[in-house]
Amino acid sequence: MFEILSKISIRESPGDYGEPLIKNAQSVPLAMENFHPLNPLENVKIGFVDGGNNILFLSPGQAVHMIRLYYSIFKDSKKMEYGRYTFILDTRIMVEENAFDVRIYDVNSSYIFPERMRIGIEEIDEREKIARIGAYLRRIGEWLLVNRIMDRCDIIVRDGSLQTGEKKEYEYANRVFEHVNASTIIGFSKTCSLLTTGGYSLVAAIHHLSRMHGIKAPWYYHPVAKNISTIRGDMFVVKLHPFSEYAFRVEVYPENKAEKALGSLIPQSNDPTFIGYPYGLIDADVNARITEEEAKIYRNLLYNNADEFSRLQANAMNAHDLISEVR
Amino acid sequence: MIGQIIGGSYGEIWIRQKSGERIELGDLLVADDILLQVFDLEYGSLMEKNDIARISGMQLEGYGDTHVHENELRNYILVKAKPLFNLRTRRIPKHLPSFFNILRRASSEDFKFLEKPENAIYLGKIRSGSKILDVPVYINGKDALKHHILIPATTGRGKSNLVKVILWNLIGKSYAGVLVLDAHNEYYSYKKNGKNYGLKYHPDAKNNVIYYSTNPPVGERALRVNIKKVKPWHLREIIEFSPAQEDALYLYYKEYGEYWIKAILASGMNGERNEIKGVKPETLASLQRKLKVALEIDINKNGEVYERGKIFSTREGERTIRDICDFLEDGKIVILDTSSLSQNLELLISEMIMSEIFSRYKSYKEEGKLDYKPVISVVIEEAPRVLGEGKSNIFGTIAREGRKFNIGIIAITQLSSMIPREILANLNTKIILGNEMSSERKAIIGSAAQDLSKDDKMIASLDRGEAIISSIFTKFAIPIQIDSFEELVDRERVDRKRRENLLLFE
Repeated sequence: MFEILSKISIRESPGDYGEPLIKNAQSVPLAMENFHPLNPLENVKIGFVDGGNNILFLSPGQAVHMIRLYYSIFKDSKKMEYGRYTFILDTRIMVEENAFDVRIYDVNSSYIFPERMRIGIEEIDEREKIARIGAYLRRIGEWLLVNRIMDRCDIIVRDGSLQTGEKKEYEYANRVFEHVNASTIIGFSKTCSLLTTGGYSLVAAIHHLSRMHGIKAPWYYHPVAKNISTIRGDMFVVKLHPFSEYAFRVEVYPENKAEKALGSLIPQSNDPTFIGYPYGLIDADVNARITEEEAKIYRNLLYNNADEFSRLQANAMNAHDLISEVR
Repeated sequence: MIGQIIGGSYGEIWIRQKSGERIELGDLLVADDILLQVFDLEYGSLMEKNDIARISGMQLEGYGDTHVHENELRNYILVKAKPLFNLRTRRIPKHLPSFFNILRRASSEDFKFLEKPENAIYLGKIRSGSKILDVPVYINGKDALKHHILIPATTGRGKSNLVKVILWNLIGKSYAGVLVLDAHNEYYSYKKNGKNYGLKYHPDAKNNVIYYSTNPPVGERALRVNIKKVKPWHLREIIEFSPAQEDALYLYYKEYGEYWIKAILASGMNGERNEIKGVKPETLASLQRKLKVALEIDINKNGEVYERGKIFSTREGERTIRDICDFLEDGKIVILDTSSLSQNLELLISEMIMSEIFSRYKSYKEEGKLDYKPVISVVIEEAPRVLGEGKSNIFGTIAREGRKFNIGIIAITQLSSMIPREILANLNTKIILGNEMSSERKAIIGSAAQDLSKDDKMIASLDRGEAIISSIFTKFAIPIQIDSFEELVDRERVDRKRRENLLLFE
């Protein structure tokens, strides 16, 4: 095993990275002049939004999901306000209508979602569509929450891309972009799978380039590509702390406010837990998370109240999990 | 709001301290109606152990500008507390306060249920950590004294201050007589910062505090005891006798009564024919030597016994032991200055007095008069000297049986572990002062009237004057701050002056 593993080179330092490879966009060759210094900006109200979801009951025709949405607004490292909202979704398939009927129970009476939603099966791109309802509505909920707090923030940072996947999600995202007045929206992706034409990680290539040329963080890299049609705003790569091992892909809308918006993230990005990553997003992640332990408690409650047929329905999909637990 | 319950179990409730608050070891907190006491403090963090070490490394090794955001949320002090008392039912709590309960500090209002008992002795004020609440703590003096009191502590934690405070509060209280063997001559009168202190300065001292010394100041009593008052059994604890010698002692006592010592010393001198059949000359010679050394006496060529030391006399002191016992029976504090006596002589005197008291009180019990007599207690410093393993003396008897006869001990020690468990368990009130020695703390905790198994760190951290009372007469182990004796005396002086001024105006 060791022999095989040692043969696989994961220590390659490319001489030529290639160009950014971005769908439906005109890529811009990697160049030194695209690095720009970033200056910290204080006294800015920054909102952070994130969501979490977990599945409590799954059968082919019915699923129960739990969603949690969280936001916080920071000003100069101090949390000014926050909100944490939990929802239970009871989704049932309507076979003839080719849609899902989702009943939404609003645990904290936040009124972010309507009480009921009809989701067309074609709206969800992935397989096992009923299982994906939770993640789909969580993303919609995040947009709704961004919309709700937008007026109270100078900048809103959303965990993940500003790109929208499913069809309906785009509508909710669009509502946000249409109502942006004084604020700026940042999509901050902690992971990025974009490549260069050389087959390398785009973020790693830019980060490596900065190191090769001794460019001291904080910096942002722009432009990565021109006329990107899949996202609103523009795409950047940022490194927010000189001692960080990480650079990140971000999208900013409107793009002309990017330098100030990204500069305002610098004072947020010196927490040693994850240096170079905005603390507000760590906080949002922790508070939005629905852990397996928590989900298990609710699963047990639900199963204890389920009738025999519901349990048999669940068994149609849980054999894999059961086998995974065999030691 | 100073913290919130976040877990734990019945004997160990975990509390997250609110940022900006400072909870101390020994602090008294209230959750629902339950009084809790803090027995341990730890650091708590939502961050992983390795992250914390890395953060510290970055900050120490200069990795640029780093800042732990929301430090107060992510890092905290974890407080461990135990339930002490249910303030509503006034019983030992048998349930946990509710989860996530927000705690508050205990206030003097919470202790209104503590009543002043009959024959109250004031011990100090309730202490929450190092903060003093204005709640006086009393115990029933008569009960506590006859059930014995143990004061365990290491040097400098305020043992003699505590005894002085107790005695000060007992002066003039006819329900108790206390014998004090004052090895450092520090109870009756001493000077500090140019001022006079001591039990002598109590307003009722004149008729209630009796002082004996081998070097008495003018007007005080001389501590002189006639050798005729020494009985063979008094000597057992201070002299090691062979069985033959012990037999000889009793034979002489039987034959010569209170002149037995003189008879032994004079035996074989100037043709005296007072040997007793069966006592070998070498046994007699050895006894003579031992008695002379122990009692600091000798005999001249004319067969006259004379004293070499300060305490035993051939002519004076015939009434001393009886007088002391009478004073004790009258409910007075009797202080014997034993500072210039050897430890053995001090023991001998106390043995003589307490044997007499024991014998008297035994008779009172038989005659049905005991209820009319005050309880009598004896203060013993370095208690293991007389209560240690293998000791067979009047103090062991008092510790085991004294309660039946209204006789008690106030035992002071640094080494509780040297006192047998059976006796420790009989000392039913323990006023525990600070103690750094873990083996000693273990002995105290193991024999306390309440479960103090979590109090180890608390006892180690008790500062001078801070104490925990564990008693069968208290509803829970009460943390107290003992008054400074000198401040007590000063306060009394101020009060007296005020009273005198008032009288002038009347």
